[in-house]
Amino acid sequence: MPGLQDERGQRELPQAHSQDGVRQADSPDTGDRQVRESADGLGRRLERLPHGHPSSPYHDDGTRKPPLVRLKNLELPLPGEEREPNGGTSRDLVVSRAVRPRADDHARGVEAYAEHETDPEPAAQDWQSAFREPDLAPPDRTPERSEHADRPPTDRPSRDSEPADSEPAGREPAGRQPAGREPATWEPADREHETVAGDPEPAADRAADLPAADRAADLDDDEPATQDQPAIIDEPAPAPVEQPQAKQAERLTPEQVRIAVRAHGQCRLAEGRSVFGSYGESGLTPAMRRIEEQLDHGELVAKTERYALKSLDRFQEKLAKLIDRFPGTDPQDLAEGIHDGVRYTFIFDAAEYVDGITESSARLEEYGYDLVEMKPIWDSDEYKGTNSSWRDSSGRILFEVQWHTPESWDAKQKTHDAYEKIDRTTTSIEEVERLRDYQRAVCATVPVPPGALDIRGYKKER
Amino acid sequence: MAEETRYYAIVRDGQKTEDASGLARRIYTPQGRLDQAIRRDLTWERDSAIYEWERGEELGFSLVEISEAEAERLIERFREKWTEQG
Repeated sequence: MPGLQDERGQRELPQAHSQDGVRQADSPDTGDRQVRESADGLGRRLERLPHGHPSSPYHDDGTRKPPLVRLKNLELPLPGEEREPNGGTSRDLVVSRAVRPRADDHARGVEAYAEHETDPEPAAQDWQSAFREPDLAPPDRTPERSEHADRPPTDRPSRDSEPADSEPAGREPAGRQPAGREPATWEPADREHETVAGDPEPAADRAADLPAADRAADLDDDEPATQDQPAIIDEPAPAPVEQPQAKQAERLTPEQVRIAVRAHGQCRLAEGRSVFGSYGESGLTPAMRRIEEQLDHGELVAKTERYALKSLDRFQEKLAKLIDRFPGTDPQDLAEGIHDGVRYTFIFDAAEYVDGITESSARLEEYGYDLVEMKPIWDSDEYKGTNSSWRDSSGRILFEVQWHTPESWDAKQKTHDAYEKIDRTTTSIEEVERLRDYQRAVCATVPVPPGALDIRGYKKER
Repeated sequence: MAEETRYYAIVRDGQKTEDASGLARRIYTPQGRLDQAIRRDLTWERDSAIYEWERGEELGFSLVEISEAEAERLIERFREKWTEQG
Protein backbone atom coordinates (compact mmCIF):
# COMPACT_ATOMS: atom_id res chain seq x y z
CA MET A 1 0.00 0.00 0.00
CA PRO A 2 1.56 3.22 -0.97
CA GLY A 3 1.91 5.85 1.62
CA LEU A 4 0.06 9.05 1.45
CA GLN A 5 1.93 11.70 -0.37
CA ASP A 6 -0.25 14.70 -0.41
CA GLU A 7 0.28 17.35 -2.94
CA ARG A 8 3.43 16.24 -4.56
CA GLY A 9 5.36 19.25 -5.48
CA GLN A 10 4.08 22.72 -5.59
CA ARG A 11 2.87 24.20 -8.77
CA GLU A 12 5.27 26.53 -10.39
CA LEU A 13 4.47 30.14 -10.28
CA PRO A 14 4.05 31.81 -13.60
CA GLN A 15 7.42 32.81 -14.89
CA ALA A 16 8.00 35.57 -17.27
CA HIS A 17 9.62 34.47 -20.43
CA SER A 18 8.97 35.22 -23.98
CA GLN A 19 6.38 33.39 -25.94
CA ASP A 20 7.33 30.56 -28.12
CA GLY A 21 6.52 31.02 -31.69
CA VAL A 22 7.62 34.60 -32.06
CA ARG A 23 9.59 34.41 -35.19
CA GLN A 24 11.76 36.84 -36.96
CA ALA A 25 10.89 37.35 -40.54
CA ASP A 26 13.32 37.88 -43.31
CA SER A 27 13.38 41.55 -43.88
CA PRO A 28 15.16 44.09 -45.95
CA ASP A 29 18.20 45.74 -44.46
CA THR A 30 16.33 48.75 -43.33
CA GLY A 31 13.91 46.80 -41.27
CA ASP A 32 16.01 43.93 -40.02
CA ARG A 33 17.05 45.44 -36.73
CA GLN A 34 13.62 46.81 -36.08
CA VAL A 35 12.06 43.47 -36.74
CA ARG A 36 14.52 41.73 -34.45
CA GLU A 37 13.92 44.24 -31.70
CA SER A 38 10.23 43.96 -32.26
CA ALA A 39 10.35 40.21 -31.90
CA ASP A 40 12.51 40.43 -28.81
CA GLY A 41 10.24 42.94 -27.23
CA LEU A 42 7.01 41.27 -28.15
CA GLY A 43 7.31 38.66 -25.47
CA ARG A 44 8.05 41.30 -22.88
CA ARG A 45 5.11 43.37 -23.98
CA LEU A 46 2.85 40.36 -23.83
CA GLU A 47 4.03 39.68 -20.30
CA ARG A 48 2.98 43.17 -19.31
CA LEU A 49 -0.54 42.81 -20.61
CA PRO A 50 -3.25 42.53 -17.99
CA HIS A 51 -3.93 38.97 -17.02
CA GLY A 52 -6.85 37.67 -18.96
CA HIS A 53 -6.14 39.84 -21.97
CA PRO A 54 -6.57 37.71 -25.11
CA SER A 55 -2.91 38.13 -25.96
CA SER A 56 -1.60 37.79 -22.44
CA PRO A 57 0.24 34.55 -21.71
CA TYR A 58 -1.67 34.37 -18.45
CA HIS A 59 -5.22 33.54 -17.55
CA ASP A 60 -7.04 36.20 -15.63
CA ASP A 61 -6.35 34.28 -12.44
CA GLY A 62 -2.65 34.62 -12.98
CA THR A 63 -1.94 31.13 -14.18
CA ARG A 64 0.03 30.65 -17.35
CA LYS A 65 -1.89 29.56 -20.40
CA PRO A 66 -1.01 26.24 -22.02
CA PRO A 67 1.57 26.25 -24.77
CA LEU A 68 0.55 27.93 -27.94
CA VAL A 69 -0.92 25.69 -30.54
CA ARG A 70 0.53 26.06 -33.97
CA LEU A 71 -1.96 26.56 -36.72
CA LYS A 72 -0.59 23.60 -38.55
CA ASN A 73 -1.95 21.41 -35.78
CA LEU A 74 -5.41 22.62 -36.46
CA GLU A 75 -7.61 21.73 -39.31
CA LEU A 76 -5.88 18.48 -40.04
CA PRO A 77 -8.21 16.62 -42.32
CA LEU A 78 -9.11 13.15 -41.26
CA PRO A 79 -9.18 10.26 -43.67
CA GLY A 80 -12.16 10.73 -45.90
CA GLU A 81 -12.34 14.44 -45.26
CA GLU A 82 -11.92 17.19 -47.75
CA ARG A 83 -10.43 20.52 -47.09
CA GLU A 84 -12.86 23.30 -47.72
CA PRO A 85 -12.01 26.56 -49.36
CA ASN A 86 -12.35 28.35 -46.06
CA GLY A 87 -9.66 26.23 -44.53
CA GLY A 88 -11.98 24.00 -42.60
CA THR A 89 -12.62 20.40 -43.35
CA SER A 90 -15.80 18.71 -44.25
CA ARG A 91 -16.44 15.22 -43.10
CA ASP A 92 -17.98 12.77 -45.45
CA LEU A 93 -20.59 15.13 -46.71
CA VAL A 94 -22.54 12.44 -48.44
CA VAL A 95 -23.19 10.57 -45.25
CA SER A 96 -23.70 13.69 -43.25
CA ARG A 97 -26.31 15.13 -45.52
CA ALA A 98 -28.01 11.83 -45.88
CA VAL A 99 -28.81 11.43 -42.26
CA ARG A 100 -29.50 14.94 -41.18
CA PRO A 101 -32.67 16.84 -41.86
CA ARG A 102 -32.01 19.77 -44.09
CA ALA A 103 -34.08 22.71 -43.28
CA ASP A 104 -33.89 24.20 -46.73
CA ASP A 105 -31.35 26.79 -45.89
CA HIS A 106 -30.66 28.82 -42.85
CA ALA A 107 -28.54 31.05 -45.01
CA ARG A 108 -27.27 33.00 -42.13
CA GLY A 109 -24.33 34.25 -44.03
CA VAL A 110 -21.52 35.57 -41.98
CA GLU A 111 -23.13 36.56 -38.75
CA ALA A 112 -21.22 37.65 -35.75
CA TYR A 113 -20.83 34.51 -33.75
CA ALA A 114 -19.96 35.92 -30.39
CA GLU A 115 -22.89 38.25 -30.26
CA HIS A 116 -25.25 35.83 -31.83
CA GLU A 117 -28.86 36.46 -31.12
CA THR A 118 -31.07 33.70 -32.24
CA ASP A 119 -32.80 34.64 -35.40
CA PRO A 120 -33.37 31.34 -37.01
CA GLU A 121 -35.30 31.10 -40.19
CA PRO A 122 -38.21 28.74 -40.01
CA ALA A 123 -37.50 25.25 -41.10
CA ALA A 124 -38.76 24.34 -44.49
CA GLN A 125 -42.03 22.52 -44.50
CA ASP A 126 -40.67 19.82 -46.69
CA TRP A 127 -37.31 19.22 -45.11
CA GLN A 128 -38.26 15.65 -44.52
CA SER A 129 -38.22 15.02 -48.26
CA ALA A 130 -34.49 15.49 -48.29
CA PHE A 131 -34.03 13.50 -45.15
CA ARG A 132 -33.17 9.89 -45.38
CA GLU A 133 -34.57 8.30 -42.31
CA PRO A 134 -31.64 7.41 -40.14
CA ASP A 135 -31.24 4.05 -38.62
CA LEU A 136 -33.42 4.43 -35.60
CA ALA A 137 -33.13 0.95 -34.31
CA PRO A 138 -34.18 1.13 -30.70
CA PRO A 139 -31.15 1.43 -28.52
CA ASP A 140 -30.38 -1.13 -25.99
CA ARG A 141 -32.19 0.06 -22.91
CA THR A 142 -30.49 -2.32 -20.58
CA PRO A 143 -28.90 -0.29 -17.86
CA GLU A 144 -25.30 -0.72 -16.97
CA ARG A 145 -25.34 -1.90 -13.43
CA SER A 146 -22.34 -1.42 -11.33
CA GLU A 147 -21.48 -3.89 -8.71
CA HIS A 148 -22.19 -2.83 -5.22
CA ALA A 149 -19.45 -3.59 -2.82
CA ASP A 150 -20.84 -3.68 0.65
CA ARG A 151 -17.69 -4.03 2.61
CA PRO A 152 -16.78 -0.94 4.48
CA PRO A 153 -13.09 -0.79 5.17
CA THR A 154 -12.08 -0.91 8.75
CA ASP A 155 -8.36 -0.53 8.68
CA ARG A 156 -6.82 2.80 8.89
CA PRO A 157 -4.64 3.62 5.95
CA SER A 158 -1.13 4.85 6.35
CA ARG A 159 -1.07 8.56 6.14
CA ASP A 160 1.43 11.15 6.92
CA SER A 161 -0.20 14.46 6.51
CA GLU A 162 -3.33 14.53 8.54
CA PRO A 163 -3.66 14.71 12.30
CA ALA A 164 -4.68 11.41 13.75
CA ASP A 165 -5.53 12.30 17.29
CA SER A 166 -8.77 14.05 16.72
CA GLU A 167 -12.26 13.01 15.95
CA PRO A 168 -12.90 12.36 12.29
CA ALA A 169 -15.62 14.29 10.66
CA GLY A 170 -18.69 12.24 11.20
CA ARG A 171 -20.24 13.16 7.95
CA GLU A 172 -21.53 10.61 5.62
CA PRO A 173 -20.95 11.18 1.97
CA ALA A 174 -23.64 13.27 0.43
CA GLY A 175 -26.91 11.59 -0.30
CA ARG A 176 -25.45 10.33 -3.52
CA GLN A 177 -23.24 7.53 -2.35
CA PRO A 178 -21.06 6.35 -5.18
CA ALA A 179 -21.57 2.65 -4.73
CA GLY A 180 -25.17 2.98 -3.75
CA ARG A 181 -26.36 4.63 -6.88
CA GLU A 182 -28.75 2.43 -8.71
CA PRO A 183 -28.72 3.19 -12.37
CA ALA A 184 -32.13 3.22 -13.84
CA THR A 185 -33.27 2.80 -17.35
CA TRP A 186 -34.28 5.53 -19.72
CA GLU A 187 -37.71 4.68 -20.91
CA PRO A 188 -39.48 7.76 -22.10
CA ALA A 189 -42.56 5.86 -23.12
CA ASP A 190 -43.07 4.57 -19.63
CA ARG A 191 -42.53 7.80 -17.83
CA GLU A 192 -45.31 8.83 -15.58
CA HIS A 193 -46.23 12.44 -15.59
CA GLU A 194 -46.97 13.22 -12.05
CA THR A 195 -48.56 16.43 -11.18
CA VAL A 196 -46.40 17.35 -8.27
CA ALA A 197 -43.06 15.89 -7.45
CA GLY A 198 -41.26 18.78 -5.93
CA ASP A 199 -41.65 20.88 -2.92
CA PRO A 200 -40.48 24.23 -4.05
CA GLU A 201 -39.03 26.40 -1.45
CA PRO A 202 -39.03 30.12 -1.82
CA ALA A 203 -35.69 31.43 -2.86
CA ALA A 204 -34.27 33.06 0.17
CA ASP A 205 -32.37 36.23 0.07
CA ARG A 206 -29.09 34.52 0.57
CA ALA A 207 -26.68 37.05 -0.80
CA ALA A 208 -25.36 37.84 2.62
CA ASP A 209 -24.63 34.20 3.21
CA LEU A 210 -22.62 33.65 0.10
CA PRO A 211 -18.90 33.36 -0.10
CA ALA A 212 -17.41 36.51 -1.48
CA ALA A 213 -16.48 34.87 -4.74
CA ASP A 214 -19.99 33.64 -5.19
CA ARG A 215 -21.51 36.99 -4.47
CA ALA A 216 -19.38 38.24 -7.28
CA ALA A 217 -20.64 35.44 -9.42
CA ASP A 218 -24.15 36.50 -8.67
CA LEU A 219 -23.47 39.80 -10.26
CA ASP A 220 -22.73 38.03 -13.50
CA ASP A 221 -25.91 36.10 -13.69
CA ASP A 222 -26.57 37.33 -17.15
CA GLU A 223 -23.45 35.60 -18.34
CA PRO A 224 -23.92 31.89 -18.57
CA ALA A 225 -21.22 29.77 -17.08
CA THR A 226 -21.05 26.28 -18.36
CA GLN A 227 -19.74 23.42 -16.33
CA ASP A 228 -16.15 24.15 -16.91
CA GLN A 229 -16.02 27.20 -19.05
CA PRO A 230 -16.50 30.32 -17.03
CA ALA A 231 -18.59 33.21 -18.06
CA ILE A 232 -16.86 35.77 -20.18
CA ILE A 233 -16.58 38.99 -18.29
CA ASP A 234 -15.07 42.20 -19.40
CA GLU A 235 -13.77 43.38 -16.10
CA PRO A 236 -10.40 42.14 -15.02
CA ALA A 237 -10.41 39.58 -12.29
CA PRO A 238 -8.87 40.36 -8.93
CA ALA A 239 -5.40 39.13 -8.23
CA PRO A 240 -5.32 35.43 -7.50
CA VAL A 241 -4.95 34.42 -3.91
CA GLU A 242 -3.89 30.89 -4.61
CA GLN A 243 -2.49 28.73 -7.33
CA PRO A 244 -5.28 26.89 -9.06
CA GLN A 245 -4.64 23.79 -11.03
CA ALA A 246 -5.03 25.41 -14.39
CA LYS A 247 -1.42 24.48 -14.96
CA GLN A 248 -2.44 20.88 -15.27
CA ALA A 249 -2.47 21.24 -19.01
CA GLU A 250 1.17 22.24 -18.96
CA ARG A 251 2.03 18.78 -17.77
CA LEU A 252 0.84 17.31 -21.03
CA THR A 253 3.58 15.87 -23.17
CA PRO A 254 3.90 17.17 -26.71
CA GLU A 255 2.23 14.03 -27.95
CA GLN A 256 -0.62 14.48 -25.49
CA VAL A 257 -1.00 18.07 -26.61
CA ARG A 258 -1.28 16.86 -30.17
CA ILE A 259 -3.93 14.37 -29.11
CA ALA A 260 -5.87 17.09 -27.33
CA VAL A 261 -5.60 19.49 -30.23
CA ARG A 262 -6.71 16.91 -32.71
CA ALA A 263 -9.64 15.74 -30.58
CA HIS A 264 -10.65 19.31 -29.92
CA GLY A 265 -10.36 20.06 -33.61
CA GLN A 266 -12.79 17.28 -34.36
CA CYS A 267 -15.18 18.73 -31.80
CA ARG A 268 -14.85 22.09 -33.46
CA LEU A 269 -15.57 20.66 -36.86
CA ALA A 270 -18.56 18.76 -35.53
CA GLU A 271 -19.88 21.85 -33.79
CA GLY A 272 -20.27 23.52 -37.14
CA ARG A 273 -18.79 26.98 -36.84
CA SER A 274 -16.47 28.00 -39.61
CA VAL A 275 -13.15 29.68 -39.05
CA PHE A 276 -14.93 32.94 -39.85
CA GLY A 277 -17.37 32.44 -37.02
CA SER A 278 -20.38 31.73 -39.15
CA TYR A 279 -22.57 28.70 -39.47
CA GLY A 280 -23.81 26.90 -42.49
CA GLU A 281 -26.22 24.06 -42.58
CA SER A 282 -24.10 21.28 -41.25
CA GLY A 283 -22.85 20.78 -37.77
CA LEU A 284 -24.31 20.19 -34.36
CA THR A 285 -25.15 23.76 -33.48
CA PRO A 286 -27.26 24.44 -36.57
CA ALA A 287 -28.97 21.13 -35.93
CA MET A 288 -29.69 22.11 -32.34
CA ARG A 289 -31.20 25.35 -33.52
CA ARG A 290 -33.40 23.46 -35.93
CA ILE A 291 -34.47 21.13 -33.16
CA GLU A 292 -35.20 24.13 -30.98
CA GLU A 293 -37.46 25.53 -33.66
CA GLN A 294 -39.40 22.32 -33.79
CA LEU A 295 -40.07 22.10 -30.08
CA ASP A 296 -43.48 22.96 -28.71
CA HIS A 297 -41.89 24.47 -25.64
CA GLY A 298 -38.49 25.34 -24.37
CA GLU A 299 -35.41 26.79 -25.92
CA LEU A 300 -31.67 26.65 -25.95
CA VAL A 301 -30.00 28.81 -23.35
CA ALA A 302 -28.90 32.25 -24.35
CA LYS A 303 -25.56 32.53 -26.11
CA THR A 304 -25.56 28.88 -26.96
CA GLU A 305 -23.15 29.43 -29.82
CA ARG A 306 -20.67 31.14 -27.54
CA TYR A 307 -20.44 28.20 -25.20
CA ALA A 308 -21.15 25.27 -27.46
CA LEU A 309 -17.49 24.46 -27.95
CA LYS A 310 -15.29 23.91 -24.95
CA SER A 311 -12.19 26.02 -25.17
CA LEU A 312 -8.98 24.27 -26.10
CA ASP A 313 -7.46 25.31 -22.78
CA ARG A 314 -10.25 23.67 -20.85
CA PHE A 315 -10.17 20.65 -23.10
CA GLN A 316 -6.49 20.19 -22.39
CA GLU A 317 -7.01 20.67 -18.67
CA LYS A 318 -9.69 18.05 -18.67
CA LEU A 319 -7.51 15.63 -20.59
CA ALA A 320 -4.67 16.24 -18.14
CA LYS A 321 -6.98 15.49 -15.24
CA LEU A 322 -8.18 12.29 -16.86
CA ILE A 323 -4.64 11.18 -17.60
CA ASP A 324 -3.82 11.66 -13.93
CA ARG A 325 -6.92 9.80 -12.87
CA PHE A 326 -6.60 6.94 -15.34
CA PRO A 327 -2.84 6.48 -15.63
CA GLY A 328 -2.91 3.25 -17.62
CA THR A 329 -5.46 4.37 -20.18
CA ASP A 330 -4.48 5.47 -23.64
CA PRO A 331 -4.69 9.28 -23.72
CA GLN A 332 -6.21 9.05 -27.17
CA ASP A 333 -9.03 6.99 -25.72
CA LEU A 334 -9.45 9.47 -22.90
CA ALA A 335 -9.57 12.42 -25.27
CA GLU A 336 -12.16 10.75 -27.45
CA GLY A 337 -14.19 9.98 -24.35
CA ILE A 338 -14.53 13.61 -23.31
CA HIS A 339 -18.23 13.97 -23.80
CA ASP A 340 -18.62 17.70 -23.36
CA GLY A 341 -16.21 19.10 -25.89
CA VAL A 342 -19.43 20.29 -27.51
CA ARG A 343 -22.41 20.92 -25.26
CA TYR A 344 -25.92 22.32 -25.35
CA THR A 345 -28.51 23.18 -22.77
CA PHE A 346 -32.25 23.27 -23.26
CA ILE A 347 -34.42 25.17 -20.82
CA PHE A 348 -38.00 24.17 -20.15
CA ASP A 349 -40.42 25.55 -17.65
CA ALA A 350 -41.16 23.09 -14.90
CA ALA A 351 -44.57 22.23 -16.27
CA GLU A 352 -43.11 21.20 -19.62
CA TYR A 353 -39.81 19.88 -18.38
CA VAL A 354 -40.39 16.15 -18.59
CA ASP A 355 -42.27 16.34 -21.86
CA GLY A 356 -39.57 18.63 -23.15
CA ILE A 357 -36.88 16.06 -22.50
CA THR A 358 -38.94 13.41 -24.21
CA GLU A 359 -39.62 15.57 -27.23
CA SER A 360 -36.13 16.92 -27.66
CA SER A 361 -34.62 13.47 -27.19
CA ALA A 362 -36.88 12.14 -29.89
CA ARG A 363 -35.77 14.95 -32.18
CA LEU A 364 -32.14 14.24 -31.48
CA GLU A 365 -32.66 10.62 -32.42
CA GLU A 366 -34.50 11.66 -35.55
CA TYR A 367 -31.45 13.63 -36.52
CA GLY A 368 -29.40 10.48 -36.27
CA TYR A 369 -27.76 11.12 -32.93
CA ASP A 370 -27.28 8.20 -30.66
CA LEU A 371 -28.01 8.43 -26.97
CA VAL A 372 -25.06 7.19 -24.94
CA GLU A 373 -26.11 8.15 -21.45
CA MET A 374 -29.04 9.86 -19.81
CA LYS A 375 -28.57 10.92 -16.23
CA PRO A 376 -31.36 12.64 -14.33
CA ILE A 377 -29.81 14.40 -11.37
CA TRP A 378 -32.79 15.71 -9.50
CA ASP A 379 -32.05 13.60 -6.46
CA SER A 380 -28.66 15.19 -5.93
CA ASP A 381 -28.48 17.86 -3.30
CA GLU A 382 -25.62 19.68 -5.01
CA TYR A 383 -26.84 19.83 -8.58
CA LYS A 384 -30.20 19.81 -10.28
CA GLY A 385 -30.85 18.96 -13.87
CA THR A 386 -30.63 16.18 -16.41
CA ASN A 387 -27.43 15.56 -18.30
CA SER A 388 -26.90 13.33 -21.27
CA SER A 389 -24.25 12.42 -23.75
CA TRP A 390 -24.83 11.64 -27.39
CA ARG A 391 -22.77 10.43 -30.27
CA ASP A 392 -23.04 12.35 -33.50
CA SER A 393 -24.12 10.70 -36.68
CA SER A 394 -20.53 10.10 -37.73
CA GLY A 395 -20.12 7.98 -34.63
CA ARG A 396 -16.91 9.75 -33.74
CA ILE A 397 -17.88 12.72 -31.65
CA LEU A 398 -19.53 12.74 -28.28
CA PHE A 399 -21.47 15.79 -27.26
CA GLU A 400 -23.48 16.74 -24.23
CA VAL A 401 -27.05 17.89 -23.87
CA GLN A 402 -28.36 19.21 -20.57
CA TRP A 403 -31.92 19.96 -19.66
CA HIS A 404 -32.74 22.54 -17.04
CA THR A 405 -35.57 24.58 -15.72
CA PRO A 406 -34.92 28.30 -15.40
CA GLU A 407 -34.42 27.75 -11.69
CA SER A 408 -31.98 24.88 -11.98
CA TRP A 409 -30.04 26.74 -14.65
CA ASP A 410 -29.85 29.74 -12.40
CA ALA A 411 -28.58 27.55 -9.57
CA LYS A 412 -25.97 26.09 -11.86
CA GLN A 413 -24.75 29.55 -12.73
CA LYS A 414 -24.67 30.63 -9.12
CA THR A 415 -22.71 27.61 -8.00
CA HIS A 416 -20.35 27.54 -10.92
CA ASP A 417 -17.52 29.27 -9.15
CA ALA A 418 -17.94 27.01 -6.15
CA TYR A 419 -17.86 23.99 -8.42
CA GLU A 420 -14.64 25.11 -10.02
CA LYS A 421 -13.04 25.88 -6.72
CA ILE A 422 -14.00 22.54 -5.24
CA ASP A 423 -12.49 20.89 -8.29
CA ARG A 424 -9.14 22.48 -7.61
CA THR A 425 -6.78 20.34 -5.64
CA THR A 426 -5.34 23.45 -4.03
CA THR A 427 -8.57 24.32 -2.26
CA SER A 428 -8.39 23.39 1.40
CA ILE A 429 -10.59 20.65 2.76
CA GLU A 430 -12.38 23.07 5.02
CA GLU A 431 -13.11 25.37 2.11
CA VAL A 432 -14.39 22.47 0.04
CA GLU A 433 -16.82 21.56 2.79
CA ARG A 434 -18.00 25.13 3.05
CA LEU A 435 -18.47 25.42 -0.70
CA ARG A 436 -20.37 22.16 -0.83
CA ASP A 437 -22.66 23.42 1.92
CA TYR A 438 -23.23 26.51 -0.16
CA GLN A 439 -24.07 24.43 -3.23
CA ARG A 440 -26.57 22.48 -1.19
CA ALA A 441 -28.15 25.67 0.07
CA VAL A 442 -28.57 27.01 -3.45
CA CYS A 443 -29.88 23.76 -4.86
CA ALA A 444 -32.37 23.41 -2.00
CA THR A 445 -34.21 26.39 -3.45
CA VAL A 446 -34.70 24.76 -6.85
CA PRO A 447 -38.19 23.36 -7.32
CA VAL A 448 -38.25 19.84 -8.70
CA PRO A 449 -40.38 19.75 -11.84
CA PRO A 450 -43.37 17.44 -11.84
CA GLY A 451 -42.27 13.96 -12.80
CA ALA A 452 -38.57 14.78 -12.82
CA LEU A 453 -37.77 12.31 -10.08
CA ASP A 454 -39.29 9.58 -12.24
CA ILE A 455 -37.09 10.23 -15.22
CA ARG A 456 -35.16 7.09 -15.75
CA GLY A 457 -31.51 7.06 -16.49
CA TYR A 458 -30.00 5.19 -19.36
CA LYS A 459 -26.54 4.05 -20.22
CA LYS A 460 -25.78 2.42 -23.51
CA GLU A 461 -23.88 -0.81 -23.30
CA ARG A 462 -20.54 -0.63 -25.00
CA MET B 1 -9.11 8.34 16.96
CA ALA B 2 -8.89 6.44 13.72
CA GLU B 3 -10.13 8.15 10.65
CA GLU B 4 -12.42 6.31 8.35
CA THR B 5 -11.32 5.67 4.82
CA ARG B 6 -13.40 4.39 1.96
CA TYR B 7 -12.10 3.13 -1.33
CA TYR B 8 -13.72 3.33 -4.72
CA ALA B 9 -12.82 1.69 -7.97
CA ILE B 10 -13.19 4.21 -10.80
CA VAL B 11 -14.82 2.41 -13.66
CA ARG B 12 -15.04 3.95 -17.07
CA ASP B 13 -18.05 3.21 -19.21
CA GLY B 14 -18.02 -0.32 -20.48
CA GLN B 15 -15.65 -1.63 -17.87
CA LYS B 16 -16.16 -4.11 -15.08
CA THR B 17 -15.10 -3.37 -11.55
CA GLU B 18 -12.21 -5.78 -11.74
CA ASP B 19 -10.99 -3.93 -14.79
CA ALA B 20 -11.20 -0.54 -13.13
CA SER B 21 -9.01 2.13 -14.61
CA GLY B 22 -8.52 4.12 -11.47
CA LEU B 23 -8.79 4.04 -7.72
CA ALA B 24 -10.02 6.75 -5.39
CA ARG B 25 -10.34 6.99 -1.66
CA ARG B 26 -12.06 9.28 0.78
CA ILE B 27 -10.61 9.96 4.18
CA TYR B 28 -12.85 11.47 6.79
CA THR B 29 -10.63 13.91 8.61
CA PRO B 30 -11.52 16.32 11.38
CA GLN B 31 -11.37 19.08 8.81
CA GLY B 32 -13.62 17.38 6.31
CA ARG B 33 -13.52 14.87 3.49
CA LEU B 34 -10.18 14.39 1.83
CA ASP B 35 -10.58 12.86 -1.63
CA GLN B 36 -7.63 11.34 -3.40
CA ALA B 37 -6.84 9.09 -6.34
CA ILE B 38 -3.93 6.84 -7.08
CA ARG B 39 -1.40 8.12 -9.57
CA ARG B 40 0.91 6.36 -11.94
CA ASP B 41 3.72 6.42 -9.40
CA LEU B 42 1.31 4.75 -6.95
CA THR B 43 1.11 7.72 -4.67
CA TRP B 44 -2.14 9.30 -3.57
CA GLU B 45 -2.99 12.80 -4.65
CA ARG B 46 -5.98 15.05 -4.30
CA ASP B 47 -8.61 14.31 -6.91
CA SER B 48 -12.21 15.37 -7.32
CA ALA B 49 -13.53 12.14 -8.83
CA ILE B 50 -15.63 11.23 -5.78
CA TYR B 51 -17.06 14.70 -5.52
CA GLU B 52 -17.86 14.78 -9.23
CA TRP B 53 -19.67 11.50 -8.90
CA GLU B 54 -21.62 12.60 -5.85
CA ARG B 55 -22.61 15.85 -7.47
CA GLY B 56 -23.81 13.80 -10.37
CA GLU B 57 -23.03 16.11 -13.22
CA GLU B 58 -20.15 14.21 -14.74
CA LEU B 59 -20.78 11.39 -17.14
CA GLY B 60 -18.59 8.63 -18.44
CA PHE B 61 -17.43 6.92 -15.29
CA SER B 62 -18.80 5.27 -12.21
CA LEU B 63 -17.53 4.64 -8.72
CA VAL B 64 -17.88 1.32 -6.99
CA GLU B 65 -17.03 1.06 -3.34
CA ILE B 66 -14.52 -1.66 -2.56
CA SER B 67 -12.80 -2.87 0.55
CA GLU B 68 -9.28 -1.92 1.48
CA ALA B 69 -8.10 -5.43 0.63
CA GLU B 70 -9.63 -5.11 -2.81
CA ALA B 71 -8.03 -1.73 -3.15
CA GLU B 72 -4.65 -3.26 -2.37
CA ARG B 73 -5.18 -5.93 -5.00
CA LEU B 74 -6.18 -3.29 -7.49
CA ILE B 75 -3.04 -1.32 -6.72
CA GLU B 76 -0.96 -4.42 -7.23
CA ARG B 77 -2.59 -4.96 -10.58
CA PHE B 78 -1.90 -1.36 -11.49
CA ARG B 79 1.71 -1.81 -10.45
CA GLU B 80 2.14 -4.77 -12.77
CA LYS B 81 0.26 -3.21 -15.64
CA TRP B 82 1.90 0.16 -15.49
CA THR B 83 5.33 -1.34 -15.08
CA GLU B 84 4.77 -3.29 -18.26
CA GLN B 85 3.66 -0.15 -20.01
CA GLY B 86 6.81 1.57 -18.91
